[in-house]
This record gives sequence, C-alpha cells and structure tokens, in this order.
Amino acid sequence: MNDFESELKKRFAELRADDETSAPSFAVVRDRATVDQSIGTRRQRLWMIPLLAAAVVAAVWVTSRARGERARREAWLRDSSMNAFRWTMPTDGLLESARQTLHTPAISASVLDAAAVPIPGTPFKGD
Amino acid sequence: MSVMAQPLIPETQRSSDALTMDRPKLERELERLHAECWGWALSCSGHDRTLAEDALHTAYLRVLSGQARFDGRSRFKSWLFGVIRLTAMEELRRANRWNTTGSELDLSSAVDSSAGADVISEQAERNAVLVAAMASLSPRQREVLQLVFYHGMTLEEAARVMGVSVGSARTHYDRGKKALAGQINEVDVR
Repeated sequence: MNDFESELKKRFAELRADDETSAPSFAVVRDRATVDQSIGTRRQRLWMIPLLAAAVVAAVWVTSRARGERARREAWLRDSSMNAFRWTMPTDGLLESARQTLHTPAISASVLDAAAVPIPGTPFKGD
Repeated sequence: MSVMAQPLIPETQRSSDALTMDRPKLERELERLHAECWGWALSCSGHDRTLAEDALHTAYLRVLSGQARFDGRSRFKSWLFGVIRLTAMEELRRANRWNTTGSELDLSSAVDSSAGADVISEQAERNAVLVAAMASLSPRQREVLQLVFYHGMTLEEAARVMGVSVGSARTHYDRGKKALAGQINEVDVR
C-alpha cells in the first residue's frame, strides 16, 4: 500500500466517524419506515375503491342489459308467429252466442222439448 | 456511537435460512449495519442528508416489507448496500441531483474562506475537501472508492454491490484513485 492509499484510508476514516456522529438513529428510520409502510398499504386500499366501484357499475349495467334483452325477446315472441298457437277463429264469437241460446237436451228428453224452450225476448208461438 | 453487535448472519452464509429471515431478525441486522448504511446512503445521495434519509427509509421499507428479499448468494451487507444504492439512484433521478461534473466543480466552495470559517475544525475542512473531490469523480469511480476505503470492502464485494465485473471495478478503482489524488493535491497546494 502506498502513501496515498494510507492517506486516503485515514481521510475516509475521519469522514466515516463524522458521518456516524450525525447519523439519525435506527429507531427513527425504522419507525418512519413502518409509518410509510402503513401509508403504502392504505394507499393500496384507496386504489381498490374506484376499482370496486367500477366493478359494481359494470355488474349493474350487465344485469340491466340482460334484463332488457329478455324483455325484448318476450315481446317479440308475443308479437311473432308464436301467436299462431293462440289463434282464434273469427266465427268463434258466433259459437259462443249460440251456446248461450242452445241448450243441450237431456238424454231422456225429446228433441222437440228442446225446440219448445222459449228464447228470451222472442215471442213464443202461441203467445 | 452504538457498539457493533455480532453479525446475525455469518459473512459467508449461503444457506436457505437467509430466505426465511423473520422481521425481528431483519431489524436487528439492519440496526447493526445502520451506521454504515447511513454513510453509504450519504455517498449515494451526493451527501444530501434529506435525500440520503429518504433513500435509507425507502430501502429499509423494502427490506422489512419483503419487497427486497435476501437470497443468501452474497453477504447480507453487500446485498443491503445494493438495495440502498438502487433506491438512492431512484431518489436521485427523482430529485435530479449530482449535476456537477469534474470540470464544473469548484473545490474552493468546499473550503469556506468566509468570516467565521476558522470555527470549522481542520478535520471538518478535510472532510469537506474529500466529499467535494469525490463529487468530481464519475459515479462508478466514486462508488468503488467509497466501498473500498470507507466501508472496507474488497474489490470483489464492491463489484457485487455495483453490479459490475471485478475487472471493471478494478479499472474504476485505479482511475478514480488517480483522479482523487489529483483533486486532493490541487486543493492541498492552495
């Protein structure tokens, strides 16, 4: 080792001693690190809030969209050819009114008895 | 200054125990090396105390939270110095410090000639000269000289901390030493 290296070592040793006397204590650094850590965790949690809110909004939007789609589909089925299964003949009304006026005769009764039943509001023969 | 405790991790430890260091053990080891870490953080931060404190806080946080994990491939101190170095570099980039170059550096500023300067001790003056001379070196030269002369590391260990080959560290060491000698002699002659 030459003289300059010895001189350097001496100077660095002095600098080191000086630095060490002015060093903040480990406890201060550690405690600040712990605080920073908790702040970091809190910050991470804060980041979660908009993320969760966005997830909720997305879920609501998807649900409402699915519901609307189902309603539209049902409406289409109601108005489409599926109605053929519920089709009624235009003359069905006539049958209904006939049923109101015609009475099925009893098995033991005469067919003529049924013909003799007066129709309400109609003048009966012989009145 | 605190009494140096015995290292919890042997100098040559390479076992997997290092991977499973619990927090109290880590804290004890950090406390043991704290004074040295402070000196290293100061050096990496251009002797800016605020920046050095920030870097050291962040480095400790990374170690204690497990963000930086010691894998036992080197000495704990070398690994820790590497973490501090990278953290300080990030802090420096953020603060945009160490803008001085060798040619621009005014070493006379290190030796205060104003009134009241006589109060400053000769040792403090010598320290200021050394710090200013170190600032005139390239970052690699500064790092290797700091690690070898200040922290008593070997060139191999310094190379590991700096993340360069031993040959490269040796080159920076030789050139840095010559440059530092020139700077210090220049100031001493004045």
